[in-house]
Amino acid sequence: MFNNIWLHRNLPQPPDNFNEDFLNWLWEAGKQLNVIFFDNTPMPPKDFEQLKRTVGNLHADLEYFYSKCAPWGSKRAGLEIWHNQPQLIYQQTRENLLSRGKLASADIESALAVAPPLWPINLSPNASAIAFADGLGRLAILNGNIGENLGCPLAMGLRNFIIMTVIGEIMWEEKNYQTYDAVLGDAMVRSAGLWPYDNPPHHPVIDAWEATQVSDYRRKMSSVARE
Amino acid sequence: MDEKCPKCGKPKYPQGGQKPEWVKRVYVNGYPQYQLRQGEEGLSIFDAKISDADILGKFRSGSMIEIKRTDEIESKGLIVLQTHGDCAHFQNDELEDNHCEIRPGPGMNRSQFKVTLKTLCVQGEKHVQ
Repeated sequence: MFNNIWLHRNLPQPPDNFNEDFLNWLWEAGKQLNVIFFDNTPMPPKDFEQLKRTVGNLHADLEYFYSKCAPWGSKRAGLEIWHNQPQLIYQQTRENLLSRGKLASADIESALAVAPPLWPINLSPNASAIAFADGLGRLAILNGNIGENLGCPLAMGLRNFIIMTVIGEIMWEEKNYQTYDAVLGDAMVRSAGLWPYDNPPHHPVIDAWEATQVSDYRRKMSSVARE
Repeated sequence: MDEKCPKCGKPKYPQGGQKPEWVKRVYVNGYPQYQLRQGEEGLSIFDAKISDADILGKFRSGSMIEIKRTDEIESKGLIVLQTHGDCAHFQNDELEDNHCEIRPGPGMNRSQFKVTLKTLCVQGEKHVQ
C-alpha cells in the first residue's frame, strides 16, 4: 500500500511490525518531510508508572510506544495535562449523546462506567489522538481534539496511525489543505488508518461522534429540502 | 476568525491587540528552532515580554528559547498571528493571552512554508536554557 508515495518521497517501505525499525523509519520520514513526528523522547518512568496505576494494564504496542515517545511532546507537566483530558472528553461525550437523543442520561453513565479506559497518544492543540483497547485486544486510535471531531475513528493500531500521520503530511504538501482537520478528511489519509468497516471497535466516545454526524447530516438535508 | 476555544471559551484569534515587536520561540535542544510538528498549522511563539522562566516552566528540561523580531519573520513572507495559547497546556492567562503563531503567508503552500521556516533557523547564536 502507498508504494508509489514512498518511492516518490525516497522513503523505504515502512517495516511491517511496530518496533525499533519502524520508529527509525518514522524519524527518517520526519527528516525527509521536515517535520517532527512524535518526539524521540521516552515517557519519564515515574509518569509511566503513575499512568498505569490510574488507567490500568497497557496494550503491548502502547508499552513500547511510551518507552520511546512521550505523548505530550515537550510539555513539562504532560501527565497532569492528560489527567484533565478524560473528564473533558467524557463531558463532551455526554452532551453529544444527550443532545442528539441517542441515550438517556443513566444509560450514558452506565456505558461510560464500563467503557475501556482511554490512553494518550498525542496531546496537541489540534492533532490530539487517544486510544483504547477493545475486547478483542485491538488498539483503536481516535481523534482526541475537544470539538466537533472528538471520537472520530482514525486508525487501528499504532503502526497504522503513524503511517496515517506520515501520509497526512505528504497529502498536506500535495493538496495544500488549510487545516489539519481537512487533512484528516482526505480519503487517502483515512484509508491509511485501516479502520475496519466490519466489526469495528466500540466505545461511547465513538458513539457520541457518530450521533453528531447523523444528526448534523439530517439537519443539513432538512435545510436543503426547505430551500 | 470568531472561533472560540472549545475548552475555555476564549476567542481563538483575539482581536484588537498589537503584534509584539519581539517574539520568543521554544524549541527542543537538538531539533531545529523553527520546525513544525505533526498536525501543526502554525508555529507557537510568545510575546517576548513574557519572562524566559515563565515560558520554560511549561516545557520539559532541555527546552530552549530563541528570540526574533516580528518584522524579521514577516519579511520572509510569513504571518505572525495573535492566537489563544493552548489553555490545556499553559493553564496561565498571561501565557495564553500573549501567544502568537507563525503562519504561512498568502499563497504559500505547506512545502514553501516549511522551507521558509528553515531560513529562520540560526546556528551558533546565544540561547537561554
